[in-house]
Amino acid sequence: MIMARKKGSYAGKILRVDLSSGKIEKQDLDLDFAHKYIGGRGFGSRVLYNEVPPEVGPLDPENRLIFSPGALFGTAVPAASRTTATAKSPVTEMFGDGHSSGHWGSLLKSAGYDQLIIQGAAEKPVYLWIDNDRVEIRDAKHLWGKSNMETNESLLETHGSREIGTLSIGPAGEKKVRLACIFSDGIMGTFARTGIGAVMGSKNLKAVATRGTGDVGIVDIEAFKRAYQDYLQVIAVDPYVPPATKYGTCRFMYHRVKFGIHGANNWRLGDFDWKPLDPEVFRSDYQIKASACPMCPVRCRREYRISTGKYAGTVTKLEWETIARCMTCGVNDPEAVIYFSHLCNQYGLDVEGVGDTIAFAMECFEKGLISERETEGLRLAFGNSDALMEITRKIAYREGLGDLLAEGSLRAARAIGKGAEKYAMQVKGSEMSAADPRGMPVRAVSYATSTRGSDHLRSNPYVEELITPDEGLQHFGSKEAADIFQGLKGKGKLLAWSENFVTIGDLLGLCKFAYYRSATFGYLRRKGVELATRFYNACNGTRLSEEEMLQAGERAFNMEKAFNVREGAGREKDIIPERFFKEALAGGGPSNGAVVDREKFDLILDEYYGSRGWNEKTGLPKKETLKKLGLADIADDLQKRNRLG
Amino acid sequence: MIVRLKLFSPLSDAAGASELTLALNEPATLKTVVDTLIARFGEGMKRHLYDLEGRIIPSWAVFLNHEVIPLNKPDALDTEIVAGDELSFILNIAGG
Amino acid sequence: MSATAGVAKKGAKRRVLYVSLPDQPDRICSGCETCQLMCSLEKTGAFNPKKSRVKVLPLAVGITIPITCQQCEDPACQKACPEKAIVPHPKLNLVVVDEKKCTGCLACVGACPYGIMAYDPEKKKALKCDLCEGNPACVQFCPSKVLELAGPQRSAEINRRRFAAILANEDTAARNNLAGAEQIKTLPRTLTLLAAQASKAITEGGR
Repeated sequence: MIMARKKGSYAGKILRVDLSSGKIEKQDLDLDFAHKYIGGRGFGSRVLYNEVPPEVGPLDPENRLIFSPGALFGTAVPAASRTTATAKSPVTEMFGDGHSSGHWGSLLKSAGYDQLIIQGAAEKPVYLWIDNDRVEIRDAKHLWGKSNMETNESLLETHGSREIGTLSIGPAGEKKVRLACIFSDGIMGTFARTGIGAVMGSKNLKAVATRGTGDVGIVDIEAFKRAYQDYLQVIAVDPYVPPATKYGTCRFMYHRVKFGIHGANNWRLGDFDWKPLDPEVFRSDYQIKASACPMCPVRCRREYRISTGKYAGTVTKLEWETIARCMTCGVNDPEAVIYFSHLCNQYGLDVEGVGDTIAFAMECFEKGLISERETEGLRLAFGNSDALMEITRKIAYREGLGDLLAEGSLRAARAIGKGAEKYAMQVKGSEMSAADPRGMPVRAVSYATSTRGSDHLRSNPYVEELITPDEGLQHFGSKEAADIFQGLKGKGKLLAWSENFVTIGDLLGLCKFAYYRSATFGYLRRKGVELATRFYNACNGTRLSEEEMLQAGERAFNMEKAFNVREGAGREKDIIPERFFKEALAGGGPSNGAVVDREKFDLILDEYYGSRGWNEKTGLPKKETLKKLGLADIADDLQKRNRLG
Repeated sequence: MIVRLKLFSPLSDAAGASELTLALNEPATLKTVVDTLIARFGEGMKRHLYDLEGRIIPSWAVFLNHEVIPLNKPDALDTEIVAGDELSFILNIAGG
Repeated sequence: MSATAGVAKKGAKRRVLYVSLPDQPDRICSGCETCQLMCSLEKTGAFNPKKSRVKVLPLAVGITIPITCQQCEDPACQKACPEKAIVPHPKLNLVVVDEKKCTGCLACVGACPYGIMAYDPEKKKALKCDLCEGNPACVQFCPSKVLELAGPQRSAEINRRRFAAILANEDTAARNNLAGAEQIKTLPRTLTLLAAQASKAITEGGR
């Protein structure tokens, strides 16, 4: 007897909206597709590859803007509340995506859809209203120009309920600022990177509002509950979790301080006067709420309020990267950091992209490549927080120098010329994230291999921080894999494994802090592979093995690599800013005086490509690898274009 | 002999303080420091230093004066500690 | 089954309470909404916050509160029901909805002073908290541990501490002229105040 496969926690339909023609189409979700690509980033990357060829530009109507909730979003799996937004990126001109928490994704599933694909462009500003099976394109004239919070409030009022979810862009997305992002539910979460806010703006789509009242199903409740209790047991002992609960993401400060890797002053200094930004300061002087993303027991979101001084009355959320990128601009006033976050949240700007781009401009100003003539009198110096705010506003509205910087640091550098490009700290066009990689070879390579430009979350090489030499030998072929500073052998394999591993989170909608960070390799695999797979199987009645789940991660990563390769990107794009190779880090930690060793970088990259089943020299995927992953059609497509390894 | 410790969450939560002095008998090693912390502060300290299998949690990086000793090195716990040493325990987990 | 108005006495009255205590500022509802989904899972076998008998309300920036059925002594829901579909639970000291008799008229939904009667939009039936037979799912799964199944003495203790916090707040406010005091320092007391105001409204005639 053939058992009918169950829908499990899938909603069952795909919603496609063409903003040019107004056509709205619903398709049944194919369970083969679902169990192969899982959800979230897996769904998004597959559709992007299928539908956006190299001829289509990121701001063309034919670019797709695809929203795919993680497969487990809408269930009570702990910390399963993330959604992926996929599009060709205006900032990298190749693969792009962002991931956000918030409510909207689960409302889409409750409304009956596992994916929303938007194509075309409306003639004037519109928003999409999805009310279970009723889907309408509505006039958004009254919303255009509003901030993300205002847009969310207005939609909640229009639709008469606080039980709807929204997505929106702020003024920056409307102006197609390449550093613009999309927000979920006001400022609850953001699809931050790769400029997908500009894609939404190019479609004249101001917002998506969604109401959903349906069930999200589950097949095996007992298995789910057992996995839940096992998960709680692991996080009860994992030392990674309490500082997250106590400080939110501010906690990363102590690590940066000790290791001397701030990236301050446009990634020149590893040492910095960080004390005003001590996590204790944020916690005691500004914190008004420690909140949680839906279903999450870690509770690491923070809301802050400034009560006095020139930014009095500011209430907003911020995360670590805002603090880090303010230091990249030389700013260490906590109130300026909170206010900067507030501006970026309201305008709809990616703090990393903007922070790094402003830091780039500050270095150009310092070195005389731009002057007060270009800045219209603004003294764009490191540490000048007033200038930081003003130039952020100018970027959001594309005014003056802001219009140039709105193009991102790489394009701005090319326009400025005079060697400015070496100050643009970007990978594949997307600005630097996280911390300084000097002295830590794998960290450096991981920024280069990410499929969407510099991104520590994509590659998550932190496995090297928590394995023992024996585990390094067992899993990656060498004890050296456990040495962050000196190790070489096994690092490429470690990086490839780490990337596939963390991708699972993006398929299922799981938060990295809740599953993909830990203090031991055992706990890490327990959470991020074993429990993740058990949750998926419990919800869907499937019997995926852990290897198959890791392979699903590998599959998504390969689709994105194939997309980039089809766009013409090869090994030459898997590189990091020259500064890291050439200039010694001026810092107070173990990496003081270090550079990224180019030879080590290349050796690790070779091993990485090899272990991924890609050509070791060129990094191009091999046919057998793609076929093994069930991507034979992609192999054929690349073969036709002469882009196989 | 006296050594000074700087602790961060979750060890500081277990100790109820972020700065401590420890009086240790000589000769002392990093293991002595770890054992002393556990003896003094109990289960709340132990669960974050040793994993469920009883192995030292590898992602602790101990900054001894200005040197970093990642605890994933097999002989890390044998590191000698002398009077006046300053130690910081930091979780070697970067990210952002 | 007793025919008297209200509920036949079967053991001490218990309810799920939101236990946010002013002297434990970290123990506060995080807004994760796990309670909603675990409730619907327990009662319907699927995840649907609309069918949850516990509701999390975002009141303002920084404040989310879980609202639970207070298992009233003299239930307004039961009084409002035209079909006599709200009946005593066979074992526990509370009332439940008899789905066979419920016509989905929504009278009880409107009558509940806490607004906590839920409604199944598909089956068109009212939904009410029945304490999950004595082991409430919301209490079991709340990661912040702010929900408790409380009997009369525990309820009294919690109310006492809340009331003391209100008095202390008024005391402090008077001494320090903190009219318009910063939300940061008074947040735990603000929560307490809101809870007290809600309960004041109910005892003064139900809204």
